[in-house]
Amino acid sequence: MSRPGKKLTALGMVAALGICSYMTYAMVKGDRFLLPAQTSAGHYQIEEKCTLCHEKSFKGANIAELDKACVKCHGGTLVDEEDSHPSRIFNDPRNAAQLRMLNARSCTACHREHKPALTRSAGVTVPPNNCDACHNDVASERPTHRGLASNSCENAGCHNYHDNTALYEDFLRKHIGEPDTLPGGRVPVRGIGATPVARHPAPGDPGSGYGACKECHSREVASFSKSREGMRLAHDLGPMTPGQARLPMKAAAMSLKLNCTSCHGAGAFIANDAAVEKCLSCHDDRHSRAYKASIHYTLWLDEQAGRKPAGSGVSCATCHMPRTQEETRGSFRVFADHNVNGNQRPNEKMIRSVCMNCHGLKFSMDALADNVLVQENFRGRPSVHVATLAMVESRMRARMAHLNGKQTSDDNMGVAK
Amino acid sequence: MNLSGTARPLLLCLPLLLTGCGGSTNKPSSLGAGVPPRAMADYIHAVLAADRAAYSRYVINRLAVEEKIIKATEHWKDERTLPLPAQMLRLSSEIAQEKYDGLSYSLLSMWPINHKNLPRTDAEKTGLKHILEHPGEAYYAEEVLGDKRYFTAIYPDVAVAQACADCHNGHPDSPRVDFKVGDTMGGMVIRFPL
Repeated sequence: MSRPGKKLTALGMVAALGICSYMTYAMVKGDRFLLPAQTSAGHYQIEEKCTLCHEKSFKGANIAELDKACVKCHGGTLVDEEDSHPSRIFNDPRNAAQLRMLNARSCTACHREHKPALTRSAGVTVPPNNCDACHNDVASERPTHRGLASNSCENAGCHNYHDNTALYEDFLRKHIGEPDTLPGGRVPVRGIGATPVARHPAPGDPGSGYGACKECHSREVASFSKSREGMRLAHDLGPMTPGQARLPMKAAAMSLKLNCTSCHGAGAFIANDAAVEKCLSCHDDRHSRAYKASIHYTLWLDEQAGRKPAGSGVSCATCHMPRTQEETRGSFRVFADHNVNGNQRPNEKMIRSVCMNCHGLKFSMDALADNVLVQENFRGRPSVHVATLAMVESRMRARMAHLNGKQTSDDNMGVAK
Repeated sequence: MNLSGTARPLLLCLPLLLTGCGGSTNKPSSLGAGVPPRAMADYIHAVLAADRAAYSRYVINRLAVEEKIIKATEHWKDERTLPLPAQMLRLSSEIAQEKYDGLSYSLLSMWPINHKNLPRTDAEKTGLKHILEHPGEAYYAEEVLGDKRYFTAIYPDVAVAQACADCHNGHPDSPRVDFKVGDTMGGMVIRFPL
């Protein structure tokens, strides 16, 4: 090889080495340079850290690795909401034919990242009629479902793939006939720890910051780490800022770094301020702007002024950071779930954790199904009427007619009717 | 070579000693080697049936029926009750499948509460028909599912208590409402790869 040729070869090798090194650095440390396409609403906050999902390789067929990454973040939530379609129910070999149509054992069968043209709500990338792969015979079993379009399974108030805790038939049946507003409805009051405010570290103190709060508020920090506000901190990417958000945000808040003190202040840590004013200091969408004209805000003001009992008001946090009861050593503690996005998609997730503290099931379903009402922050009454409960009532009547008034034995292993 | 009286028998035995005559070898024995699939399925069925009977008798019947401390309901997690025996079987099957991909056991029926438990493969359809037409008999077959060969065994699942019949007869999704004690309500299907 001639001398110039050798020089070119050497230069080429150095360039290739440099490119490979930078790509490796970008993968590990985070750089949007390598992103093939826009990521979903739930992942764009952490999109620059490829290794969160692609731990070892980018091979498209490495489904097992991708699924493992999904379960690492989302597995706990699926367990909590009693996932209706956990992958393990598809392990039976008799499902082989259906699995050829849709590999429901893998998260990525329905949730494919980097596919913006296919991506719907909750990061779903399969069409709504996908349920047909296994449930194309539903009309034969359910007369109430005859004539329904195959893409209507996910309609509001009908079915969710994962979380059906508010939609399964026995639950629906128990709550038929409830009034729109339950008398004496309250949300559970938070069980705040006995730690005196004086012990809270001030910003800048040694041991202050995001990690310090974990010592006493582990559940709040753990749930915040799953939220869109907190997931960047959880993965060592630096705090999220409203400027990076895809939702409309107020100009004055664009560079605010989100962590515990950005909502809870420094020193005083007033939770009630964080429940409304801190949210509205950033969020600038139609739903947020409509809040202060809603009945929910009126109730909140009444509660804060002592005119109404604790738990009767409805702040932003009441709905978006639902009060969760957890049993610890025989006693219950109520804490606010700081995964602000955990119960939004699909919004039926709010029914049991939020709405039914104060409202009947039918009213809750109708309200959440009315997109305009949701945008207007529930000013007014629902104009949508979900047929779900009526279908259940219809089945109950048909069943009674079929049984011809036959009663089942009381001595039935205590099995509830 | 002139060998002593003692040395000659020892030398003759040497090949036998080296090859492990008497049962002791350098390789570990293959436990279960040679167990026919039919016998394997029978053993599995015996264990499953016993576990289910123990759960029904000593947990459900004792706590729910006799002492009435807690009920057994379909939505046991949400209602903080006990899983039904059929659900207990399904839950354990899911755990077993995570350990041994391809091993499965489930309850299928011509009249299931969940229509996903209708027979689907040819072996399931033939097998369920067989156990209904031949009370007390099991059905065995080999089948290919998803490019793998499986041994499939189907055993009659009989209503052994009034509660079995009552629960199904009273369920809104049950296509049959006249089960009686002693009826074959369906079959337990056990399947493992060959």
